[in-house]
Amino acid sequence: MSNQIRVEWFKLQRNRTFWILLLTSTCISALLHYLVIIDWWQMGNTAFDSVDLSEMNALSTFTVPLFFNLIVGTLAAFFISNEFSQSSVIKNQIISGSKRSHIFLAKYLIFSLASIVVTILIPLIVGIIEVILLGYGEIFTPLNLLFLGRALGLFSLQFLGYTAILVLLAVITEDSGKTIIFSIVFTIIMFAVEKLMRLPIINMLYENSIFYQFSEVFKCSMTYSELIESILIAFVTIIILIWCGIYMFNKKEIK
Amino acid sequence: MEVDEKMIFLYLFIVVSLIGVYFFTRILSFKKEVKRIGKQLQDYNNHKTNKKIDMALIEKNIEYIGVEINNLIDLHVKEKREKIRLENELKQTIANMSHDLRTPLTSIIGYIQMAEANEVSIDERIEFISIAKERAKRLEILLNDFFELSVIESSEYQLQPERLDMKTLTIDVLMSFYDRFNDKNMEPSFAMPESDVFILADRSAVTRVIENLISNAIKHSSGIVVVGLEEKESTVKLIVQNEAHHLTEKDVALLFDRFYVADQSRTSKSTGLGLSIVNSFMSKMNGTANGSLKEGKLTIMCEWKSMEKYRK
Amino acid sequence: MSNYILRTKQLSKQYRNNLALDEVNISIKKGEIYGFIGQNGAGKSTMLRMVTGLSLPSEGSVELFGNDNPRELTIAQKRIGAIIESPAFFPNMTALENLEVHRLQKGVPGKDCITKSLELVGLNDTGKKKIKNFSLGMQQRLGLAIALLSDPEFLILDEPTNGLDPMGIVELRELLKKLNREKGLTILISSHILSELHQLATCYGIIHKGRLLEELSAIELDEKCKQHLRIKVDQPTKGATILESALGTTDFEVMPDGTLKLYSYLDDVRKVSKTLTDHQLVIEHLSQAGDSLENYFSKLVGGERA
Repeated sequence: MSNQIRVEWFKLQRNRTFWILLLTSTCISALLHYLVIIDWWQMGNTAFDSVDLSEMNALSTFTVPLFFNLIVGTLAAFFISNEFSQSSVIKNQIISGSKRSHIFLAKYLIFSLASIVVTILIPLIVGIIEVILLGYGEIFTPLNLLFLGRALGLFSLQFLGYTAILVLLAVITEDSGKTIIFSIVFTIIMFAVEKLMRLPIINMLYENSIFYQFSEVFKCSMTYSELIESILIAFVTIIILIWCGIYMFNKKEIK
Repeated sequence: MEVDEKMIFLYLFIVVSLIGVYFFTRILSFKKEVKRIGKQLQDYNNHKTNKKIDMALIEKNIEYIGVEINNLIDLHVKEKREKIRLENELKQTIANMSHDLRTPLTSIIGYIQMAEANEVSIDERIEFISIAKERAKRLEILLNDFFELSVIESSEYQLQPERLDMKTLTIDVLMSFYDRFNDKNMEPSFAMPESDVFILADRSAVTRVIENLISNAIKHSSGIVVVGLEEKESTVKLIVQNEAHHLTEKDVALLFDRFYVADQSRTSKSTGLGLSIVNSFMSKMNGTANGSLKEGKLTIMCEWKSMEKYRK
Repeated sequence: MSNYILRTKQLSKQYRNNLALDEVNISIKKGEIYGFIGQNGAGKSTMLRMVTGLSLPSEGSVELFGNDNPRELTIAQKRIGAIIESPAFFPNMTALENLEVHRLQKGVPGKDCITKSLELVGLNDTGKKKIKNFSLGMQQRLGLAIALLSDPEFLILDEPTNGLDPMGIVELRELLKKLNREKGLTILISSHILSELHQLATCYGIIHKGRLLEELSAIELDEKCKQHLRIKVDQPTKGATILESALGTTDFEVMPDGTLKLYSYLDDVRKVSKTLTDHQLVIEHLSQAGDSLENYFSKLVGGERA
């Protein structure tokens, strides 16, 4: 399995899409953070306001599925789907005699890592640097940092569930275009469910999904039961999706 | 801020335990890897597999062991293949020999059977028997050649190198073929150098090489035979050229093969071993023998190192 | 260790309404070069894809190196090098990087194997050139380098001559022969042209419309394809003598069972039979045998079609 992870890592380092996304993410977050800090763009009512971190408000943009999916979906399309359709290098991987489940897991892990770097770490680090450079460094109190650590840690956990959905999608569609389109459609549906759905059953399901948790984890204080619930939801989602993914991948006819 | 201190400790604890888990799994994976290599070697030694070692490429030094084990496997495979090659060669030799012997033997028996029949006249009987005798003699030559080849190729066969005057030797051998050239109305042409040419080699071996080359040329050619000798860049080359319109490139490539007779029907009187003997002698003398075909002319070239080279 | 590298048992593959492979049984022994011959769409790739684990059989089973349960089969696949359909690469990487990916994938220790394998196929000087700028022939060679990287025991090549020029085909053939001779590499090579594999394969499997029509050794094939007269007479030795004396030919062989194989007089069979009868021999059998390779192939395939 470690070999499979090294292979994916090697490929990621030479993946052009990854570097372009990394650059884009850096630029966008630098711009957004700047606009927020100079108060040109005033966002109210964010989770960061409530803990006196309004200078970090721009981060909340990156926590919206509709937005971060654009980045992660593209990466999934060009890092995973492409191997099935365009270059069909997935053949070589299967022929090499590695277990399919290992190949799948390695792809999932490296893809998730790359996604977390691009959509969470980069905006966070760029934000912190800008805040300090522009002279607002004093807003980071231990309490604030603990909040950031907890919120983003839990968010990353939910995020891992989301990347699992994308890997599954990429493996099923085998096509970069389809992966992007389906992932966008999917986030729009989830957005619609959040805003419009009034059916109690669906509401109940939604409230126990990672999508609900994406905003829940930024609450300024969480009880231990909420914390455990959040962790549980993330883990259950990840495990189910990975199990589905491996099952699908094992049954797959590689072209 | 008591609560926060607790929280900080909690975070610290998580970080430290993560680092601990990392090193622990790393050590475990080393252990597992070494065990896996051992298992693979065991399978290899028990002939369950011929696969080279593969491994999780996690640590340079473990990888290094793998590289060296694979080199060892390479050596092992090479030796095994060499053994198989020798065995096959032997098998092939025996198969070829029996094939070479069967057809003439069948024909000899056939002639004898015909001679035995009652209705044949005395004259016919004598003719049949003489044909059978001639075939039998050819078989004898073939067997002698086989024997000679096996003697030359055995490791006990020692050559006695001496200083040889190639020019004189070549002309001497050519003279001894005078009658045979005459019989076929052929006139050999010479291309000898002005100066004397010396090599360090076994006299009888070199004589045999020249004899075989010339007799081969006479047998297979009706036209011109050219015998040449030249010294160039510390090598001495003996060149025998004759017309050979019926040969193809493929024939030439196989010319020195032990059982190759370009004329597959084996009608000619040659046994096909003359050139093999040349080849064996040449390699015994650290020389080379090559054949090439150009415009219907077969050129066989034997190369020795000249005496000059030895003097230096 | 099992003597068979690959065996398939009643291997079948159904794609919706289309039976792509129908109960194929083939067996490949260690050290063989197996030529897998069939027209385009005959089921060659389908079969090779199942052997390499790219797709799963609908019916029947694959046995590699004597293992046939799915778990062991995956492990056995590590001992294989293969190119299925066309070789696959990362177009934006160099040859070296592509091989490195594969080296990591297979867990081959040491980077030496990369240069060795590139040298073997004659691609050791492509430097920083990306694969997308490689010619088709170079891509085929690189594919072979990838397949040979881990020094496999069994090499599977699917139509490897596609895109190669005649020189390249000759080189490939020589390389495969060398590997077979020097390492005892077992090779399965598919093609739609029988004559392309002639002089290379030691064994042939001929497939048509998903069914294996015939499995035969190169010697058997040569025998079938060399034009000659098969003569069986009551006294073989006398027969041989008469061929020699009365017909003036020695272009014949005496087989161990006493059959005579005459390679001349193919266009004058009557003379042969008359001569033999004139000498009081009873002809038990006299027939012309042998076909050209392509003729033989199309006859086999055509016969199935009728």
